[in-house]
Amino acid sequence: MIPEAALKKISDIVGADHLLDDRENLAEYGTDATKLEFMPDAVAFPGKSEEISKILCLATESGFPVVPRGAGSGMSGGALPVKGGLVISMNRLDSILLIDQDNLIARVEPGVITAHLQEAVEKVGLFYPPDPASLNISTIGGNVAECAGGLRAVKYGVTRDYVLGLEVVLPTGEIIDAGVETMKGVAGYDLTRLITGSEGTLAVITAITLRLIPKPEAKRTMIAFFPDVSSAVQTVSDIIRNRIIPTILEFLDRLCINCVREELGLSMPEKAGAMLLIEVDGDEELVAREVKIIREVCNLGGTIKFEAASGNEEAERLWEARRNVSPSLFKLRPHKISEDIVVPRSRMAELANSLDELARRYDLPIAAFGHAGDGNIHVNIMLNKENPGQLNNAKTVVKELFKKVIDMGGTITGEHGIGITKAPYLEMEIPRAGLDLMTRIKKAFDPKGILNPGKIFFK
Amino acid sequence: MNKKIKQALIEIVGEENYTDSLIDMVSFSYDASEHSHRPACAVWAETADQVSEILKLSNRERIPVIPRGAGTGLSGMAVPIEGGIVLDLSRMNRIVKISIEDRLAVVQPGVVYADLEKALAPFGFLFPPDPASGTVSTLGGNVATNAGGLKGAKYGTTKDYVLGLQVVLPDGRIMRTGSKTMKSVSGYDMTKLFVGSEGTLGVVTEIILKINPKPTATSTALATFDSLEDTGRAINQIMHSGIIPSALEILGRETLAAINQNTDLNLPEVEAMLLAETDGYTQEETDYQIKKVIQNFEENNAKEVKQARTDKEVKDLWAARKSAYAVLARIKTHFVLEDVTVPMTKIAELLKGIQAISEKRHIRIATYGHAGDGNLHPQILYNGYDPEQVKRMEEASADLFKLAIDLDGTLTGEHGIGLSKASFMTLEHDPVAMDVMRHIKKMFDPNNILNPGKMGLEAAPGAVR
Repeated sequence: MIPEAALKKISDIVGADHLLDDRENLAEYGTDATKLEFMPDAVAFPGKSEEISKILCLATESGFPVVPRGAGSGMSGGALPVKGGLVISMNRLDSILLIDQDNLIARVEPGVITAHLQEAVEKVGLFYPPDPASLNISTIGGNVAECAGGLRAVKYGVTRDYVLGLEVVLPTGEIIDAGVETMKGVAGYDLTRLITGSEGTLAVITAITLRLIPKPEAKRTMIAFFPDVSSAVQTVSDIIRNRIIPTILEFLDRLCINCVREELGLSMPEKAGAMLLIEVDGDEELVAREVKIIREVCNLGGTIKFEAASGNEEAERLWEARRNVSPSLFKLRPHKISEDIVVPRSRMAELANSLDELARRYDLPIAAFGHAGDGNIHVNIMLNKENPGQLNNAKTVVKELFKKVIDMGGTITGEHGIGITKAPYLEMEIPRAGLDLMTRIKKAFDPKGILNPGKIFFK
Repeated sequence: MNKKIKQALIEIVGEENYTDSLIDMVSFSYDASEHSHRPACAVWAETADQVSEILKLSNRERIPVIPRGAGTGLSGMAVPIEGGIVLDLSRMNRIVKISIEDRLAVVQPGVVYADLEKALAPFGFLFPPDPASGTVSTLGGNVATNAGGLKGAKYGTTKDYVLGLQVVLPDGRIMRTGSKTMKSVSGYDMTKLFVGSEGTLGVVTEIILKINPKPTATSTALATFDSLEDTGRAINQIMHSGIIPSALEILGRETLAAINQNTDLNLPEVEAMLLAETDGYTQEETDYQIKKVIQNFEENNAKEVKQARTDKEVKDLWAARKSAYAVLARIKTHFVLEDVTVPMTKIAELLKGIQAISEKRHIRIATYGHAGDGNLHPQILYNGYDPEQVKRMEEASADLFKLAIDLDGTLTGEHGIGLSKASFMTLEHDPVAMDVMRHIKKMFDPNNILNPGKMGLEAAPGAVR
């Protein structure tokens, strides 16, 4: 609970117009893409970092939780006020401060929508590659807090690879500039990357300096169907062995293909057990050469159907299956539990077998799709949550899945973060010494534990 | 070293892996910087368990431990400035695993950069950062300093390729960070915190590196300029033309003159020379790219523009660039090699500022470096036996750091803080950021045994150098 006197002070800091504390308006700030619900005590909409600094000072003094929030599109509960307190929405901090074509950098406030930044930089021939699926609503601040990935990560990396510097407010109210405005810098510890992906538990991000790259001249989209997962996975390896790193290397399993085919009436081979969506980019010469090699590699790998789009419209058609796969899975069961595990790519076929086995043993449909190029697979356990037996089984499947993934040298989250949904499992992956250090880092930044409490660390 | 501790160390690593002989102590007192200080002894560890035992012992006895790779660092981070035990990791030099399917290599810290390059070549892959010291420097050292190199503009630096680590903490606990996957966001990013921490937080005993396909074709071109402004404009225009050259290097007038005095390369002695390389998989592709680069040279008043047509021409051009460091090192008895980095639009200003500092302090400064990412190497040449010249060198360095920060840059793009720049940390980082870093150091290493005296983390500003 926020003490009455503190609430009054918050109102003075941000202005009464920028504070919500009536219950009916608070609900939408208590949920995110996990659909879990926790009620905050109030929501503030600060307009500058000094206001956030004052709020955090106050919170550290009087001990109420503060939860930073972007668009609320997170998949692991990072923005949920699990212990109540004050949600600070970054909606008003939504300016693109600078796009510097000469130095290839952009400086933005955290509330800028990812897609808006991409459009703005593409207008001047530049490119900001990270493309989380939520990019039309998600904010850059949220992307940095979660270290969001996306489809192009196989070639271009994730958010972390583009963050050069940050202005952040520490829980004790101090404002610091971490990082650089240059392409490289090694002076001191890398606080920028420590804060990137820390899920709003170490500091509140108030400005972000991002690296941009020139926009590639051309791109080509291809689609290939395979009789089974192992031939598709082998083909992915062979493409990379041929020294091509495509921009996109997306994968759908048989269950996903069947759902999309029935929902959208797409023509896809009946026998298809796996689908790859492939995209390459670069200058014209390069793209043409890579399409040729990929076609050969797919043929050698036993593809049952291969298509290369010749224009934008055709490319869009090839993308249709991948874009619609997530919602079309609900035809199987009304609910899903979605995980975003990563395994070394050489273990992907093995993972697929394990999923089949788990699906049989616990009698639940498990559909897998995702980023084959970097081994980051979205595993969707389909169920009816009203049915206690199914819910229990699904929870067991999650646990067994994580165990298998870690045994394979993988990680339990590639891009969604730990938040609250994976917090109980973090111990399976991170050794005791590591957890111990992380807890101490948290404590050094946030001695009173006011910033986004209840996340990452279970207990 | 006292008898009891010597005995304990010998028990851990064996007689043959312990030394305190004078000649070895003198060798271990140096790296590639201007600093030196003798350790009490040195040990070669061969396993993570030995490293762990050594750290437990020194943590208990409060003895400094200085991890060391090849000693090629340029800012003094391997110099045992407070004595203690040098922990030489060069015998942990096994390539544990190469998996092309998983696009990664697992290596021990003592593997030399060039040896990994050789091992990856048959698969057509490489680990791209390409530090200039690559034929001798170790991967452990590259990770500890977050080494960069000629290919930084296109391929980034070491940190962009480190997926995970095995690290021994100062209390002897062995820990793994990251994973063998291309991405992971579980928990705080401890991997990146260790990369570039200059051996002050833990000792790296195993490294998981992402690897890249190796381009098979390159094209190279050079351009000379009579004005630094034109040079700066050409660099900017190239970097947003849609082409990212795999290398874009700059050589200043002083550097060109020095190379000419020491080689028969016969370079034009102009204000600046730019050297560009594009890479790819076919000659058509890289030629297409280099033509665009050349067009940008021409549009910015380049005096002479030339594309290298034969292998020999290419080799000569790169020989010129690569000889700069060694040629300049011979001119005076001593030198310091700086590595300030500025936003790309400020390169011309930085070059002019360096000329002004050189004139004001009456000291020779020759500049070259990585124009494509704004990382320049002014090499300050002086006679280290003349106190007057040493003083001028120090003043020139201080001026240079201040200039870089005024231009929104950083003290160091790839060499690290170490001892050389320790007293300038507060120029770049505000007191709160310094405080956070000191907290982190204290948390990892409460007894300050691991590489003490580095990075300006001990609260006495101006104490070093």
